[in-house]
Amino acid sequence: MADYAGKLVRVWAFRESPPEFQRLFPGGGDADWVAHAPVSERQYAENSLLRWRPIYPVRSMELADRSVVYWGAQTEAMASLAKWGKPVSASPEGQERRRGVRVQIECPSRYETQSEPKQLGIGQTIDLGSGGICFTTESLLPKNIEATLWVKWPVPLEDAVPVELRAVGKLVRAEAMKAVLQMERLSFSIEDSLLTDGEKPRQGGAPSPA
Amino acid sequence: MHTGESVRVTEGPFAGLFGSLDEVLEQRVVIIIDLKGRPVKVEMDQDWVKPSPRHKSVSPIVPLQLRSSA
Repeated sequence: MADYAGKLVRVWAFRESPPEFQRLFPGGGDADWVAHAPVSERQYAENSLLRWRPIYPVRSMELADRSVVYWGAQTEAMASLAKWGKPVSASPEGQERRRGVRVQIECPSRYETQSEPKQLGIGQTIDLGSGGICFTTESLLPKNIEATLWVKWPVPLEDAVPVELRAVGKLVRAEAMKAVLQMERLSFSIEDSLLTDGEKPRQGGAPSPA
Repeated sequence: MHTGESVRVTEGPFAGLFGSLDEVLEQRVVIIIDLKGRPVKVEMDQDWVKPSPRHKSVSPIVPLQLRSSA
């Protein structure tokens, strides 16, 4: 194993982390992260690494030198959301192509298409799933283009710190006032958006700030 | 980006936090983030940080020179 001594905390995207760390967490996915905190920095870094647990699972493993490796399973955030929203059932005609958890929940959102001319707008989510997000748009967006969607996440961190999801992917469906983004990358951040602070999810019983 | 520049982490577990750029490596950077009141060096992907004018980076402490009035 490589030498991770010293006072440096290191973080990686899961697939770019050292193989010996990836082996500790066999369920890791592309959107996940891995962090290593040496024993001297552990008490300072741990709070920031574990604060995401209301949003997605964060697991840790102590190594022989008492340093710790953490795994943040961002890909499991959608599954964690299931308890806050109304589950969407498969269509009776059997045309439901999306798999995994999908919940109906309205969260403020904003979007930006990547191809020129760029289109920006605000709206709200209609439903969120592990593969994609259906959201309202201000106009008809082009299909099959890359877009970025920011969603005010309905579950805050401890101390009511608001969280934002940034999802990048392709618009696989587009209608007059709504579109579906198939997620290729996702990341969570402390909210820093144009969304108004007063807006709250209107459905699904998301927890109110303590 | 250059050493000493104020940055904001946009991805990963430290997303949303501010810091100052300490070292630029190949594809990676080391930034100094204040965690629980202590500056901690964190190495991460260069793409995970963006310049941020909103954050005041920690300046080196310069001794204040007092002059006595003649």
